[in-house]
Amino acid sequence: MGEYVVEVRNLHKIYPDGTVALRGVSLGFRRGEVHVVLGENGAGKTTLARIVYGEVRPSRGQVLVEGVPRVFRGPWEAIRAGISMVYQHFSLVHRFTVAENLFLYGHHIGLSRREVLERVEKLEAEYGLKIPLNRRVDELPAGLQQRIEIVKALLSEPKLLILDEPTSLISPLEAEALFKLVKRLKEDGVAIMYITHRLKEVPVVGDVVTVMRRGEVVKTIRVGEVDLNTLARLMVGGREIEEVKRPTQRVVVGERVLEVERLTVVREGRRVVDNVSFWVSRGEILGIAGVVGNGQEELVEAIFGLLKPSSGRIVFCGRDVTGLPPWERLRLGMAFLPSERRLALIQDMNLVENMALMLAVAGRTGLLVSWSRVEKLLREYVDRLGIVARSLTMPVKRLSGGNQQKLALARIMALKPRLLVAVDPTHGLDYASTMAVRRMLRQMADNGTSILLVSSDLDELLQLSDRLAVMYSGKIVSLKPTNKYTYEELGRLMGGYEGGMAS
Amino acid sequence: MQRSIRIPVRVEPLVNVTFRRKIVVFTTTYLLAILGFLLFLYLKGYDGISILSHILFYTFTVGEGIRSLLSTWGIVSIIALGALISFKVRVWNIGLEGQYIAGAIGATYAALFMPCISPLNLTLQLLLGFILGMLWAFVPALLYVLISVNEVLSTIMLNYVAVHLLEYLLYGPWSGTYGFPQTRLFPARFGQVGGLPSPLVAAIILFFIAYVVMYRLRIGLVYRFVGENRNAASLQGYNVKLVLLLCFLISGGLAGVAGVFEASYELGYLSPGIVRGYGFAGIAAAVLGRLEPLTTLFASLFIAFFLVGAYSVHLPALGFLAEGLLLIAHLSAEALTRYKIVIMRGGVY
Ligand SMILES: Nc1ncnc2c1ncn2[C@@H]1O[C@H](COP(=O)(O)OP(=O)(O)O)[C@@H](O)[C@H]1O
Ligand SMILES: [Mg+2]
Repeated sequence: MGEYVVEVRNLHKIYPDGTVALRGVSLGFRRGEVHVVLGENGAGKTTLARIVYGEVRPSRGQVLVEGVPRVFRGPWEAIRAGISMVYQHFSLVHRFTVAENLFLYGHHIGLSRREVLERVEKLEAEYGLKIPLNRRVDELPAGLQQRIEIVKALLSEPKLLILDEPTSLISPLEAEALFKLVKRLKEDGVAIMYITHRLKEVPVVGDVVTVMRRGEVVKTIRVGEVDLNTLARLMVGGREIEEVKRPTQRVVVGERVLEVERLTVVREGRRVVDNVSFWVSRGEILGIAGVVGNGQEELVEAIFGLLKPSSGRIVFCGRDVTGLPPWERLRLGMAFLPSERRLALIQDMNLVENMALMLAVAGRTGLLVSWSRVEKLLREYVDRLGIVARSLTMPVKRLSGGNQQKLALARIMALKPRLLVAVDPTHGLDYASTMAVRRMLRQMADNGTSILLVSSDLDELLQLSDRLAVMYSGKIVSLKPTNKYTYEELGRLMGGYEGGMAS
Repeated sequence: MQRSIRIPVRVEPLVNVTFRRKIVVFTTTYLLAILGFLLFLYLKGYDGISILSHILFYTFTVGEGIRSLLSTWGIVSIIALGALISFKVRVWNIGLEGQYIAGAIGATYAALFMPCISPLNLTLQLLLGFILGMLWAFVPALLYVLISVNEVLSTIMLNYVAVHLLEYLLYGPWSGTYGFPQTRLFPARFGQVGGLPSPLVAAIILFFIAYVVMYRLRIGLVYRFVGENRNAASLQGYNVKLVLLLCFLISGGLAGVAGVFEASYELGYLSPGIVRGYGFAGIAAAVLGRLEPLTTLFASLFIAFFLVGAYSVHLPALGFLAEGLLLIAHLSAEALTRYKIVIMRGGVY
C-alpha cells in the first residue's frame, strides 16, 4: 500500500443552477492501481473527475497531489501536475489528421512537434500500438479514436490517468484491446481512475472499486473482497425488496395499443436498438429501466417517429405506423413528453399560447384560434392539477419546474391520447411535484391511456409500472411484471452482468 | 509551459433583467450612437447640428420631404416585414436587396411587355414582382432546407448577381434612347391612394395582415413555435422544413413587392438608381423593431427618416452610417441587458 498519488478529501459540488452533484466525497488513487468508480447516471462520477482534472472548482474540499493540497485554475495546471483525462465523449478535432490533433495538444502542453513524435514512437514501441498519424480523425472507427485520445492523454506522461466511461462508445472487441492497454499502463506504475456504470468491467480491470450514489461514496473496497451481487445492490440503492411499495399491482389485459416488432436502430454503425420487441396494453404502464445510453432514448424516438429504424415494425392501434412522420402519429393519438422541459414547452410563450399550440399541432383548433376557448380549457386543468401561476399570460419560463411539468402534462391530457411516451417525467423536480406528476400519470392510465415510461429513476419505475423491461446495450434483457423483480436483480441486469434472454 | 492566450473574462446570462437596467442600457447606447454620428460629421468637417436640423426641417415640413419620407417609409417597411418574417424563424435572409431588385425587374417586364389596361397591369406588376422576389430566394431556400447550405452567404452572393442582371438588362435589351441605361416610362404606374403614397398604404395593409396571421391564426401559432424552438417543433411533429421554406420564399416575395413600388411608384421606370441599399435598411429596421410587426413599422419610419434626410443634404452615405451606428448600438444594448460581464479570478466556476 503506497501513498496516494492523488487524493480528494470531502469534496462538495453545487453547480451554479443549484444541482448538488457531490456531497462529501473522499478517495485516493495509488501508483500502479486501477481504481474503478462505479455508479448509475447522475451519481456524480464525471463531476468528480472534472474536479480532479481542474476543469470544475469544488464548492468545498480539497484535491491533494502527492500529499500537497492544490487548487487548479484549469486543466492545463492539472496536466502540469501529472493528471490527464479522457472524456466520455471524444474531444478530437474531426477534420484534422491524427498528427495534427496530437501536435495541437502538444502545443497546448508545451511540447514541440519533434517531442510529440518522439513520445508517440515511444508509446507505440512500449505498448505495441499502431497510430495512423496521417489519417483524418473522422475516418477512424470509434475504438481507434479512443486510442488516439488515450495517446494524447499520455503525451504529458501523467501519474494519474482518468478514463470516463471509456467503453460507452466502442464495440466489445475494441473494449478488449482497451482493457489490455489499461493493464499495461498499470504495470508501468500509472494510477488509473476508471469510471463506469458497467458492473461486468469491475473484475476485469479493477483492483479497487468505489461505489457512488447520489453524490456520495457508498463504499470503497478491494475488488477481490466483494461479489457482483453486492455491488449491484450498492449501486442502485441497497434497500431490500420489501421496501418497494406497490400499492396496486394490476394485471392489464386490454387490447394492445402499441406493438413493437423486432425493432433495430443503427446509429453511426452501432446497433443502438437491437431487435427489440414488446407491446403495451390499453391503460397499462410499461416501464423501461436501464442506465442512460443503453438505447432507451433511441427506442422512444423511433416509436414517435423522430428516428428511422433500420428494420422492424411499429404497430399503433392495429395500424402500421413505421413510416409515418411524428405529426401523423400525434393525430392518431400518440403523445410524446420529452425529458427536456425546454423541448416540451416553449419557454418564451405564455401558458395559453402553449396550450393552444398543442391543440393546434394535434389538429384540434379551427383555422382561427379562439383564445377564449383555449383559456377556458386551460383554466380547467390549472384548477384541477393545482398549477400555480400568477397569470395565464405570463411566459412559461417564469413558472417553477414542477408547475412547468404539470402544464406540459396538462397539454397532453387535454388531447386525451391513447398512448403517452414519457421520458424522465420527474427529472429535477422537488418531492411534492414529483409525487403530483406521478399521480397524474397513474390517473391517466386509470382513464385508459397507455403509458410507455422511460426513466432513470428506479423508484419511479417501481412505483408506476405494471410491467418493467430492462434495456442493456440496445437489447431488452428482461421484461416481466414489476413485482417479480428484486433490487439486486435489477442492478445486475442494468449493469449487464446477467441477461441475454429476451421477453 | 502554457502559451495560449486566456482572456480572464466570462460572460454570464442574467436571469432577471430589471426594467431599470433596460432603460439605462438602451438610452446610453443610443446616445452613444448619436454622439458617434455627430463626431463623424465633425471629423469630416461638417457641422453636425445644422445638418441634423436641416434634415428634420426638410423631412417634416417641406411638402416634397414629407411625400418622400412617407413613400420611403412604405418601401423600407415592406422589406423590413420580409426580414422580420424570415428572421423570426431564424432564417437569416440577407439577400433582400437582390430580391428587391428582382422584384423591380419583374414589375418592369409587366409594365413594358404585358397588356396595358391600368388596373390589370398594376396587378400583373405586383404579381410578377412578388414571384421574381420569391424566385430569387428560391435557390438559397432550397439549398438551406435540403442540405443546410449557409443562407447568409448564398443570399448575399445573389445580391451581386441581381445587380449584374439589372445592369445587363439596362445596358442591353432594355436600354433606352441613345443606349442610356434607363427604360422608357411605365405606361401604368402606382399613384396615391386616399392622399397617401401607395407603398405606404400597401405596407400598412401587409403589416395588418401579418399581425393577424401571427397572433390570431393557427398557422401563426405554429410559425412562432418554429421560430422559438425548432427542435421542439419537430418533436411535436411539425414539418419544420416546410415552414422554413415558406417563410424564406415569402420574405423574398415581399422584398420583390418593395421593388415593384420603387420602380413603378417612385421612379416610373427602371434604372440603376433603384439600387439604394433598401434591402439592408429593411434588415436594420426589423432588428431595431425587435422582430415585432408594430415596432418594426415604426423603426422603419426612423430608418426612412435618415435615408431621406441624407439624400436631402446630398450625402446619401450618411443614411447608411446612421443605420449602421444604430444597429450596432441596438445589438450591443440587447446583449448588455441580457448578459453581465464577469472578470474571472482563476477557476471555471
Ligand atoms: N454543468 C452542470 N451544471 C449543472 N448540473 C450538472 C452539470 N454537470 C452535471 N450536473 C448534474 O450533476 C449531477 C451529477 O452529474 P455527473 O457528474 O455527470 O454524473 P455521472 O457522470 O455519474 O453520470 C447530475 O444530476 C447532473 O445533472
Ligand atoms: Mg458521466
